[in-house]
Amino acid sequence: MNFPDKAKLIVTLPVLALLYGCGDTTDRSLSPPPDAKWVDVSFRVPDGVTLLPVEVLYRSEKCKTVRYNSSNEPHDIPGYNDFEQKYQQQGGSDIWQSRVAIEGGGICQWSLRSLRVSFRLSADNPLAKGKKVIDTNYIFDFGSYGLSDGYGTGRAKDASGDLNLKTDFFPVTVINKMFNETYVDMFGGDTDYEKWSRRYQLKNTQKIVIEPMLHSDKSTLLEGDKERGIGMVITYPDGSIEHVRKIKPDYDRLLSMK
Amino acid sequence: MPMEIIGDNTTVTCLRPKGKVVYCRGEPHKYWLELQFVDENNHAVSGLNVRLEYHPLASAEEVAIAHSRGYDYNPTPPPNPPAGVTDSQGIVRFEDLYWVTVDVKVDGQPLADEMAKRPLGLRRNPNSQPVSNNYFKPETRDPEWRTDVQEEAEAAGHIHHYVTIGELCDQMPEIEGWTDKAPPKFHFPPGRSLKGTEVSREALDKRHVIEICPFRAWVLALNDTKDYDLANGYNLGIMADLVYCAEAENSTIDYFFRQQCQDLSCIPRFAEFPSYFHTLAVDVPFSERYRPPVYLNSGQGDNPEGDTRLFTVECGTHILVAWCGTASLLNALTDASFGPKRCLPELAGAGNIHGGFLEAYELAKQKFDPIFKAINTSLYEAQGTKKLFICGHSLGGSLALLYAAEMKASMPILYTYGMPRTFTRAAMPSLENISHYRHVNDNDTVPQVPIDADMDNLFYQKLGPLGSKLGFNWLAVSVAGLPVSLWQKDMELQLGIQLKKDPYWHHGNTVIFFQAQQCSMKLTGPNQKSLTDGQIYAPHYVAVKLFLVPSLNDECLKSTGEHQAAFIQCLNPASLEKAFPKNTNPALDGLATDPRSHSMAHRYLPYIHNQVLELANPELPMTRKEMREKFKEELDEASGRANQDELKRNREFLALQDMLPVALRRTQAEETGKNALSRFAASTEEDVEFSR
Repeated sequence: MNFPDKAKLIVTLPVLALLYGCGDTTDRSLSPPPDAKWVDVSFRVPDGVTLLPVEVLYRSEKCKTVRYNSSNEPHDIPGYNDFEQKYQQQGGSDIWQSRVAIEGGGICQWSLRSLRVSFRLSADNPLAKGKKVIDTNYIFDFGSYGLSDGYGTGRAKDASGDLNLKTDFFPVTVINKMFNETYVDMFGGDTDYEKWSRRYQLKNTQKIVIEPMLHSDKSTLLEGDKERGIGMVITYPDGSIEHVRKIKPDYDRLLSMK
Repeated sequence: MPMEIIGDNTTVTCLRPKGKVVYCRGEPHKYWLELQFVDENNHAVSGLNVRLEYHPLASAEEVAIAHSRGYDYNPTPPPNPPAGVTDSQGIVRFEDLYWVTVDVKVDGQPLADEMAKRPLGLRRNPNSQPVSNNYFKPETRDPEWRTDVQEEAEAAGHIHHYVTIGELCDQMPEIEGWTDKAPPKFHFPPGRSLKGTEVSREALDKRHVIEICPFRAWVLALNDTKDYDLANGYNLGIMADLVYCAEAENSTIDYFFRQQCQDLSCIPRFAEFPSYFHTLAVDVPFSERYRPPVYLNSGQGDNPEGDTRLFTVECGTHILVAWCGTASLLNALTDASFGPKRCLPELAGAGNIHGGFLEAYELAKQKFDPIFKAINTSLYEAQGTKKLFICGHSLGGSLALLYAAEMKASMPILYTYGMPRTFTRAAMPSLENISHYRHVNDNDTVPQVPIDADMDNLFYQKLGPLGSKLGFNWLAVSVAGLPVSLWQKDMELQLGIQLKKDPYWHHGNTVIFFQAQQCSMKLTGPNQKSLTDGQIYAPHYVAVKLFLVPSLNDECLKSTGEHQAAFIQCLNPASLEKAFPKNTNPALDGLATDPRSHSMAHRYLPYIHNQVLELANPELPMTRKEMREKFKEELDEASGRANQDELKRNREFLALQDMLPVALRRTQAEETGKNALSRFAASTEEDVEFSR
């Protein structure tokens, strides 16, 4: 090894050490005050579906965390407290419940920003056989700086009071020959449109009840359009076929077939 | 004139009664109106179905006042004139109009469809800017500003209107994929949409030229090519910087794609401290616009697995995925050096990869499954008509390379900036088909880590639990002066194992911003007296920063005919190979590395920006050109006395720099691209360039 390489090392080391010196010491323990508001999430699990733990995101204005821009200049953002919480089964029923404090308290004064309810077709569901199963999500926001996009829920729409959601879901399979993959998910409408968005900015909400209706026998298939060489062919549950330049089926059409 | 004037007749005709009541018997005087519809390039818009709607003769208040005074006044206007269709010159003429203000309306759908096909004029109209209501982003209108069409129309005595389609449409056209409740703000300005364009009664008996802003949107000029492309290099660099901006609420990214890319009054610009960069943007039909961007943030800021941030956005011709280099990932880099992991089979097939990166990457992939699946489906649906562009700065570059490896089937184009080594040498062959340009700013620290050291699985398995601790020792030992290779031998002896040789390697074609130095012996100044008689020579250094893309020389060697004329002459590949060894960084003139050289906003982007500007407007006097000129003169002058190897290398590097115009030829091939460059050159100026 020649001299310049050693010189590089000498400069590199203190920089790395300076940037990333200390471990994280944020106190993430929650202790909701006695008068804290709580929210109850209950989920009725349809047959052939697996409910995943609820993702809970608290942020703290008191305990900040540091971010760096591309010039390595630091800036503070509200601290993160992000964890998963299990549901409790209600008796022997198919209803599962989870209870979350909106004011998380603790030294850092954690405040609830987002809840993510996530579920998927069970691995043993015949619909999932040999396919990559994609999660379906609902997100509930209780303030700003909650979870990011990227969960396929669409943008948040305002709602207040208690929520009772009964979305119709249809199994949709996509055969993707470019990547040699087959996916299956539960389609509950194009969430890019507010009407079918599954994300809510909540106010005065104490109870969220989700009762998804999965139409297991109404499967839709999307494949590449070989004839046209572009676009998709969508085969609906009633056998009707659509050639489109879209990657999502027509939800209204599916609803008319349920 | 058949009309007989009775009563007050101080005027000869009743053409323009102004506040005076003229009583006419028989047919009242009728007016005409000529409307000429053109686009921003003054090309006629023919075949439009145009209607005039009379305004009510009085406002509701005026009628109420009349009522209160005991008059009964009916404000209903006369029936509207019959509709007309614009001819081949875009002209439609209306006759026999009453002296009443009219609104001009056009059938919405055909207008939107036709105007989506018309390219934008070169100069942007600052007065078409939507009302911002944002204190920090004030409007920049200019009342003195005139469009080209306007100059011509007014010179001919016509009246000019500049309108968006929303100000002509009779009803909302169908806008493919528009998911918002409110229509697009620029083309359908709130309060002025679907109401028509007003022509006041005083302006009748004239020709009006109605200049329609095309129904277009901006997308970044990105070219689908395996060769180095400067527009890609610049725009993807801005995207790799933009991804740092957002936190949970992606206001900056959202603002860029949903507001700026739809605001045709100026070119889209990423403007948030410390970055201020105009993009190179081309106009496309509105249906091909960027859909709302999706910003992904895997959450917690404190462990690398949970701190991955990226955004993705899609338009008619491409999908963009920009990865953020997070601090905790950089932190993991030091640990990761000691714990390589096997590659996932779908990623590369062989070789190793940093454990920390793989975990961060996989967590994000799994968490955001719905979006990554949507990208894959979208690419498949388009069957090659949509290109995947991937970019990232620093560790974001490493994640971007991982993602590119996984997306190989779609032949993505990858541009990274200041990226550290992520894969080991054995992984290289399976990554060969990824078109990757790796930008390195001179002596940037990050691309130098980890040092080309020899770490592999066997080693890690032996030392697993001690990994990070040993890691520290390894660095400490190296710093203390013991070369890594010696230390490795020492460790091999101690542990009784034989290390395999599979060091971390760089991937991709290097693009380096190189601070070239030339040293020559020069006479000391005339005033400097030496102790002895005779002339004294002293070493004299000159330096200049060069934009070097060695792969352009490969392209040059392969090219033929007209294409070759674009390069002036090719260089000898053997000597270039020496200066730019594959899969590692070239030896730099400076000794130490400098972490400040890693900054996207202060180092990488200003430098690429200036290079684009230099080529977009060759007439522009620029400091960087002067510096290069001086450097050239210095080489010529020093040719006798300087180190010949250094001289030869610097000449080659200058020749490489001179090949760069080729990297803009795809953008220059199309009219929209040429306009993009002209608008860029008109909007921006030379940025400060740091030498390092």
